[in-house]
Amino acid sequence: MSVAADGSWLEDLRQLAWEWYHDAPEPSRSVHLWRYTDPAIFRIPEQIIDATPRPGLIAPEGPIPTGIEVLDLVEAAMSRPELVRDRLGAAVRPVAGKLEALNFARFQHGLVVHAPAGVVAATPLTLVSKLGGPRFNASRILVIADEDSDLTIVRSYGAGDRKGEIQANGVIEVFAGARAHVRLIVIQDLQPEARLHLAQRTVADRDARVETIVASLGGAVMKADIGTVLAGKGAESESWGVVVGDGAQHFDHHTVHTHTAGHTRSRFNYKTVLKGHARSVYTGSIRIEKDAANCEAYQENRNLMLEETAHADSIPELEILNNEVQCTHGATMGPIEPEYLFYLESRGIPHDDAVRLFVDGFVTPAFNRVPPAVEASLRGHLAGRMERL
Amino acid sequence: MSSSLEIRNLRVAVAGKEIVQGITLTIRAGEKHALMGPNGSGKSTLSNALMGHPAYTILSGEILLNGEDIAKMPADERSRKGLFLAFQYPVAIPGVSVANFLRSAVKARVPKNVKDGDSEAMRGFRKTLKAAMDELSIDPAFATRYLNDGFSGGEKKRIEILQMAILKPSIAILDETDSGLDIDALRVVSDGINRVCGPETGVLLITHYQRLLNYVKPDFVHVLIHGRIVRSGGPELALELEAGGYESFGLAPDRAAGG
Repeated sequence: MSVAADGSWLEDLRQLAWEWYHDAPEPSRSVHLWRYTDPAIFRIPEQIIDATPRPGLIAPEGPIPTGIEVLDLVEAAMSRPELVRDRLGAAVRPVAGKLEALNFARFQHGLVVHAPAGVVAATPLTLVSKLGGPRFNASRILVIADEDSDLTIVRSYGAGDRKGEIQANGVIEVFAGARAHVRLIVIQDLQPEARLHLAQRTVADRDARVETIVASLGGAVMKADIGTVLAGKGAESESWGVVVGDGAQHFDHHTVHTHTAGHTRSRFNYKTVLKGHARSVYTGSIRIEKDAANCEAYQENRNLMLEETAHADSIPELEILNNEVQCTHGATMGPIEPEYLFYLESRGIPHDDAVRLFVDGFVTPAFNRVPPAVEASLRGHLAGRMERL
Repeated sequence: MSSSLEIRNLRVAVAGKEIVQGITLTIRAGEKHALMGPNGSGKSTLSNALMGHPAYTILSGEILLNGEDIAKMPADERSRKGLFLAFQYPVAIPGVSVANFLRSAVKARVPKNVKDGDSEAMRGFRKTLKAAMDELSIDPAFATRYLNDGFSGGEKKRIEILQMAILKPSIAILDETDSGLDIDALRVVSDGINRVCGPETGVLLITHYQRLLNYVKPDFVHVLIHGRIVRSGGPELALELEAGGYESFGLAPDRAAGG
C-alpha cells in the first residue's frame, strides 16, 4: 500500500480498520482463542464507542527517564513517520481480531516510547491509566527499544472514580532491537466491574532480552493475548504471570512464544491463585519454526486453588517443527498442602496469615527480578489484593 | 508460675486408628525428658497431636500447658501460648525467606492494636535474628534464603533450633532432631539445644537412638512401646536401652529391630 507523507496515512489505516471491525463477524466460540470466554462479554454498542482523543488516558507517573522519548502516537505518526509507520500494527495486527481492529480504529490515546540506540534508562518509566470517565476506554502503546538500549516500563491499569461497567481495550507492541534489554510489567488492578481485553506482542531481535510480567488482580473479566516473537538469533524471553482472583472473576490468559530464529530461548512461568467462584483459563502456545534450530522453550503454569469452588484450566499447545530443540512444559493444580500450613501455623502464625504468607512465597519468584521500586509496587498491589481475598 | 506441660491419659488416633493409647507425662521448666521408642511406637503421633496437627484426633485425655487445656486449640494458638515443636522433617516453603517467616511468627505475638513501630520485638527483630544466628553459628546469608529450600538435613535442623531461639517457648518438643545428622552436625545442633533451652524451658526429646542423649543430657527417660509408656526412669534407662534394645522392654524381636 502506498502511504501519504503526512499523518493522513494513519487516518486512512484507522478508517480501514474501522470498516474491517464493522463488517467482521463476532468471534466465534468455536475459534480457539474464544473457547473459554464468551465474546459477548466484550460486545460494545457502537453508540458508546467514542474515539474523541483523551490525552490523559495514559499518564506517565514520575519523571520520564533521561534519554527516553515519550511521544503522542498520532502526532508521532506525522512528525516521526520513519519511527512509527513500519511498526505500528506490525506486532499486534489490526486484522488479528475484532477487538484488535477496534483498538486500532478507535484508540483514544496512544503513546510511542522510544529508547534510542545505546540509551540505558536509569529508572523505570511508569504509565498509568486510571479508568474512570467514559465506559469505553481504548489505549495503545508502541515501544521501540533500539539496539543496545535498556528500558523498564510499568504499564498500570488502576481503578478510577467511575463505578459500573467499564470496557477497556489495550494494545501494547514492543520492538526490542539487537542486544536491547526490555522489561515490561503490566499491573491490572481495575475496579470490580471492569472488563479488559489486552493484546500484547513483543518482537525480539538478535541477542535481545525481553522480560515481561503481567499481574492480573482486579476487574470482572480479563482476557489477555500475550506473546513474544523471537525473531533474531540469540534472543531471549522470560515471561511471568501472576493471577489472583476470587468472587466471580474470570481470567483468560493466552500466551504465544514463537521462535522464528535459531538459538533463541523462552521461559515462561504463570502462577494462579483462586478462591470463591473465580475462574482462570491459561492456554500457552509454543511454536518453533522449521528453521529455528537449537532453541529452548520452557513453560510452567501452577494453579493454587484456595477453595474447591474455584476453577482453573491449563492447556499447553506445542508446535515444534524443528527437531534440534529442548522444550518442556508443566502444569499443576491443587490446594495448599496441609503440611505447609501446619508448619507455618505451628510457629504461631494465624491461619489466614499463613495462607497469605504461602501465597506471597508462591508468586515471589515472579517479582524478585525487577528493579526494587517496581518490585515494591507489585508487592503493594498484591498485598492490597490479598487483603480483599 | 513456672511453665509446665501436663499430658493426662492422652489417646490419639490417625485415620481412624488409635496410635497413642493413654500417655500421662508431666514436663516442668528446666527439665529435660527423653521419650524413646522404636519406629511405629507413636512418637511422632504424640508430637503432632501435642502441637495440634488437624489430621490427628484426640480421642480422650487432656493436654495442659501452664495449667490451661490446649487440646482443642488450633496450632497457632498453642504456639503463641509457649509450645514449640522442632519437626523431624521440616517442609520447604519456596518464596518465603527465613527472615520473613520468622518476622511473621514474631509479629503474630504482638497484640493486634500495637503498630510494628511501637513494638519492641518488631523494631528489634533484625538485631535479634542476627544475634541468634551468630549464637548458633548460622551463616547470615540464610536469613534471605527460602525456608528449608535446598537446605541439607543439618541446616534444616539448625534452622529449627534458630526458630526456637527466636520464639523462646516455655515447652519445646524436639521430634527426632538427631535423625539424618552426621556426628558433626549432631554436635552443633545439640549445642544449640543446650544454649537455647535454659532453666525457663521444659524439653521433650523424642528419639529412637541414645546418641543424642550423649550431648543433651536428659533428667528423665521414658520408653514408649505400642503407644504406651512402659518404663520411666533416670538417664541410666537410656543406657539400658542401648545395651538391651527395645526387646528387653517387651517388644517382639522383629519390631525391635526398627529401621
